Amino acid sequence: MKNMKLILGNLTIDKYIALIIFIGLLILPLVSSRYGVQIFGKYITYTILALGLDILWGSTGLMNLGFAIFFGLGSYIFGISMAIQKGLPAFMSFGGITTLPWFYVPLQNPIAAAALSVVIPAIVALILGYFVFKSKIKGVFYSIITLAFVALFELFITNQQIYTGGASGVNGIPTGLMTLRAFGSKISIVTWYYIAFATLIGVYFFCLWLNHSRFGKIIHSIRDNEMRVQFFGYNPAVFKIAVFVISAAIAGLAGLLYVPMSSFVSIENSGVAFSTMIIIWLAVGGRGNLTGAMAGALLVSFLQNILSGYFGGMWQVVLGVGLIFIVMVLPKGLIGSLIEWQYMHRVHKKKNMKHVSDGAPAQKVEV
Amino acid sequence: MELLVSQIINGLTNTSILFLVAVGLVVIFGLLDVVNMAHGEFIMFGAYSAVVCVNTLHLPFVIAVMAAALFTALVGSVVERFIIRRLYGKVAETLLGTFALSYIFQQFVRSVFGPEDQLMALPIEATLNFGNVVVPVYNLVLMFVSVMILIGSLLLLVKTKFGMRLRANVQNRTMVQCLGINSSRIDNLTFSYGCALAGIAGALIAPVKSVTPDMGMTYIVDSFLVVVLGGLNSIFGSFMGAFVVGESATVMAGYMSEITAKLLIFIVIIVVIRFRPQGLFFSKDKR
Repeated sequence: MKNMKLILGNLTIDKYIALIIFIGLLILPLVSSRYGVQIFGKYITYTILALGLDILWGSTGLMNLGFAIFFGLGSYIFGISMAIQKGLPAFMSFGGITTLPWFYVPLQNPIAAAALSVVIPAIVALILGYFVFKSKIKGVFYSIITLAFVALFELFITNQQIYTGGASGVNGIPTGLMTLRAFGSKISIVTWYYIAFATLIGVYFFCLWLNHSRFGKIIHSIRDNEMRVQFFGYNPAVFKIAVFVISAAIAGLAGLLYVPMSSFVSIENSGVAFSTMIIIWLAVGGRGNLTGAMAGALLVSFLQNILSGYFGGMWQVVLGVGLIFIVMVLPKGLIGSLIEWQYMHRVHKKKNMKHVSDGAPAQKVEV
Repeated sequence: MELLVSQIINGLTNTSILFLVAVGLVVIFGLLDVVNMAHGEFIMFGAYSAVVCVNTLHLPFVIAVMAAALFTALVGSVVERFIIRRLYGKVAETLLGTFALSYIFQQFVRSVFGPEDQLMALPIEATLNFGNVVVPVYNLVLMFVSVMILIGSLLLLVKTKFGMRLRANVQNRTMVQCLGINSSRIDNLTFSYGCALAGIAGALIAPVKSVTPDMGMTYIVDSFLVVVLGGLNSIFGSFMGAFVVGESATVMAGYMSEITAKLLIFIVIIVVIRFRPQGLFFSKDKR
């Protein structure tokens, strides 16, 4: 019992906040309207996406400016699969296509589509990562290349109107979603919500385990001192590619779950602007401690929903000013700063306790 | 054959535009290590100042370009003084901070001028005919200005006292301070200079491209590609990078779709970086 108390007392504050977030999301459908469930279902997929970027940027130090591409790939694959469940969707038949293109044939099976929407982003990340990391591209160069890549992806999607719906996005998803059956009944939005929630819990604990495993120690060392990791005989490129692939798969999974929540897929949620938004979530919440990514995604998306209703476009100014404030005053993000504050508080308390028990001047506590 | 010739000449125009939009980025990154994501918004400011000067105030185009340079330099100076100065040495933070600035600038312009495209007449309407190929004189002006900016920037860095202090400041900041030179003032001037270059670029492309609040985003990716190819700290490198990207993109776009051309260039850039990770013309001592 005492042991338990000690463990709980030693937990950092971010774990408690993560617990609060999980409990809040768990009971939300009981008190909220259908619309609220849909909105927060979308936010859950955003938090999964943010967790994916957190192991890439927070844990490994690879700032990806085009992370939405994997989310977009996942959501486009599953979205198109839903759209073609009942014959050709409008954007294809308007484009003059009469039979399903061969590369969409596997997507007719929803389960295969779901698997592909996780696997394809991972493969894309593997190929890109192989070229980028094997050639020792690092730092800003990596960020800029990912930015260019997502810009190309955006151009590609908008130009391939007849295959992807172009700038107006993939329509006809709701009818496809209606055909999905689990145990003989239709999957309601609340069920989808809990599927996404369970995935979020799974991904969170997976990332937590990853960070504390041997693999996690190595990727942290790559972030902090890549040269030294090399001296120890590790090949950083292999680990970077592995992290890139894992995070892309997580993002693809988030994209897959996004489809039933929004019933619509467009470039809005896979382009340059959305990639920037993911970076902002992590900057606001704090990187490297998972909770920061989740809290940032929830907070910014929630505020965006509320404030853009009141202020319209001026919301962007609020966001910009807030971001500048965070970068200049709290460079570790909200949750990161809380953890730091708690750490200082504990060190201070220990110092005082020592002072009382020894009756001697407090010794310098090693930090 | 005719198509090829006209595409090569168009490519030269695109090269000069690319160089104009990228050179400010190189100055700011190469000398200050700041990744300026708001660079596109400075270009946008330049374009809007030119539009206001020409359409509303009816000033000559040359004065409009100067006004654009002055205005963006002023904004850049203020931004450096209050935000960028606190973020030197932290690349990720400068990236985020300038991201935030780009949001604010975009929304500011959108609420003042509205989201629609601002139209601006070509300052020189004349065209030259080479056989069957028609070249607007204004495109030649663009090429001329970009070459002048290349030479001017190199001379400024190499031949003037300010340039000498600037290079010294990049190489050994403490020593420069010991010699009684105000190094933060030099930083400020450098940043303003980079922004002024963006302003000139914006003013010059305003008559030929669409001027909207979010026009910056279209240029920032291309200019980053140019800079990555040419080397992040070499002005001459960015000129060559612009040449390679602009010329090949335009020539290829004559024969295939634009997206395929861009994809091919992206692959070429990745392959080049594979063998020269710092870009084609990266120099160890910063110029």
